[in-house]
Amino acid sequence: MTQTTTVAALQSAHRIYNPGDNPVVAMANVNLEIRRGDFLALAGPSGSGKSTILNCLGCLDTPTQGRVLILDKDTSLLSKQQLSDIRSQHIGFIFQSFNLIPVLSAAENIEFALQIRGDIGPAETKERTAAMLKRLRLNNLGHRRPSQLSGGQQQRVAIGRALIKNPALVLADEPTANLDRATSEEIIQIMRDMNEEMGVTFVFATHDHDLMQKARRLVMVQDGRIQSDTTQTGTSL
Amino acid sequence: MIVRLALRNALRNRRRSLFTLLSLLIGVGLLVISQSFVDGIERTLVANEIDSEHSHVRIVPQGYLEEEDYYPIDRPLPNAAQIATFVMERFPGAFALSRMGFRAEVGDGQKTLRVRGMTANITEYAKMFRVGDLADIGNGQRCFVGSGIAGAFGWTKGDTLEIQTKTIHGTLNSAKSIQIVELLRSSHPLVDDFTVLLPNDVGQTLLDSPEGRATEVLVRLPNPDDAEQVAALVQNTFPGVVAQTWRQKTQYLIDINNLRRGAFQIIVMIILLISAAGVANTTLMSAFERTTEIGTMLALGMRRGTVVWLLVTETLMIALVGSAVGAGLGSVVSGWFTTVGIEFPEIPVEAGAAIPMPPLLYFAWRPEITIFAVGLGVTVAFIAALWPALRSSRVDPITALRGEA
Ligand SMILES: Nc1ncnc2c1ncn2[C@@H]1O[C@H](COP(=O)(O)OP(=O)(O)O)[C@@H](O)[C@H]1O
Ligand SMILES: [Mg+2]
Repeated sequence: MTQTTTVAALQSAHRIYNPGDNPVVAMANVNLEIRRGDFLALAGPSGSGKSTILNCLGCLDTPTQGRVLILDKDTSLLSKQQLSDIRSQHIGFIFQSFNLIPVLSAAENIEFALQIRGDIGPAETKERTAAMLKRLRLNNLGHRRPSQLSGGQQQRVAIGRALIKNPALVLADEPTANLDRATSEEIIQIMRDMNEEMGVTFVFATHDHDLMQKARRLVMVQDGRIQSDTTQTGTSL
Repeated sequence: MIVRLALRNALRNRRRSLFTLLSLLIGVGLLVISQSFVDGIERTLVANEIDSEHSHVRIVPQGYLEEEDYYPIDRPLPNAAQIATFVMERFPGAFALSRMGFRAEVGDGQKTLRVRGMTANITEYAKMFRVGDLADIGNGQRCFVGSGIAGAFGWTKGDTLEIQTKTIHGTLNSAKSIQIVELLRSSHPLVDDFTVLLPNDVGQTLLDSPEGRATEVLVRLPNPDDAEQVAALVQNTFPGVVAQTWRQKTQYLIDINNLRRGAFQIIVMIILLISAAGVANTTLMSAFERTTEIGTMLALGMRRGTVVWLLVTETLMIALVGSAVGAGLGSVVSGWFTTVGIEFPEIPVEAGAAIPMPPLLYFAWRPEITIFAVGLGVTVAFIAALWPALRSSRVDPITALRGEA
């Protein structure tokens, strides 16, 4: 088998803000391989560099030094537009504040991800969206605007938007920080289900101890460095 | 997708969208109306000059135009009859008329007024010009008098007047008890306020002038665009004559009207500039309020160009509706006045210098005016929206996404 199981990787990656007068090292010599099927938690206190790592993996940010590989492809020399296309093709995003488009309905928000890509026909888009809504147990809420949905429902729509394009990698930066405990667990459960049933690769950042326990792979971050990278056996929800 | 998203975004802040829409509506509407109005003035003025005084080509002796204020009759147009025949033969459908203008004084026995006398074949004159009802040619000592002159003396048709002039030999001659057959009405000041038209038989006797002598030949053409060709041909064929086209003659009217056009255009431009500022502001504000949303779309992999297009489309939709409705309303108003005309306050006639202006003015609305106005409104909006859209799409998605708690 020549096909690699690595979907994304950071190699000797550094990210330094304000180089010169007052530099802030947000990421220091990070080496991290994301493997297909990972359910990975980036854990660490606030300011430890979790978001920086996610942003670099998501091609939203570029390391000041080192490389980012997406599906074995070095992204360091790509243009902004090419990076943009990598995001729309291969990476799903779930945000802390859900960030749904307010004028679009739940269903349209999910379709939106495919329309940005522009390579899926309308019939298939509808079909996939309906299936996704059903999976997320949102099939009766597809017509609602985000403002008519609860936080948990909105984040479920956001998960649908991230997954609809079958991305190589889904990145979630503190996806439950704006949700109460019960809803947080529900969201993580859905992500975990998707991971197990469909093999979707998840990387999520959190500083919540309970949530860290739900990850199969736990990467601890401190001061921009990876402290530990452990596979947790026997994690259950 | 972009269109649906843009449409919903455009409806998001209705008051702001409505402002943009209204400002473009007013600007574009006024553009259509003012353009139709000014074109109407131009068309009316040019038509009036052609129909009451000049026709399409006016052929006079060389040097005549420089002395025209004196209406000299000592140097007649050479070959007037041949010129008329020549033009009518060479240009099928053309109609040529000879006439002779002269200086004269008319009076009622108490006071006198200096006028332009004119002798011509009345039947032909009626065929060439629209200067009132010349159907009744009359007989005996008779004339047709400009309505302004008649007004000054209190004359009506049937009244008699005295006329005095010099003959072609330079001797004084006069005729009493010339009866007014009809008044000349044209809304051309030279005709209405200065002209007394005599049938050839009366005029030739008064001027002691042989039949066929004329100071000018006028040509009316089925196709006014042939005027230049006719003029050139006549000048080349008959030495010693000058042919002036209606375009040359009315150039001063068009020039004056272009000043008016310019003034209207400046007003419309100012309104459109205000609209443009409103459009730019609307685009900038609506994008600024949605920084996070734009950041999200960029993060999801929407290309920057698509984001720009989305923002511009939002504004263009509003602009298109505003421009279309404005142009539509403007066209209805202009079209109405193109058909029924509008009462125009009479411009006081400063002797000689006045622009002939008929009392009922017709607009000249054309579909091209509407199409141009809509195009201009949308273009202005597009240009005004482009910079704010480019600027707003330059956000860094990370910053934009972090921007909210
Ligand atoms: N744009 C920036 N400019 C300067 N410093 C930054 C910027 N973004 C992040 N940082 C710093 O980098 C470090 C890591 O931040 P971040 O990756 O957001 O951590 P986390 O997500 O774990 O809270 C922090 O010290 C933060 O203050
Ligand atoms: Mg963070």
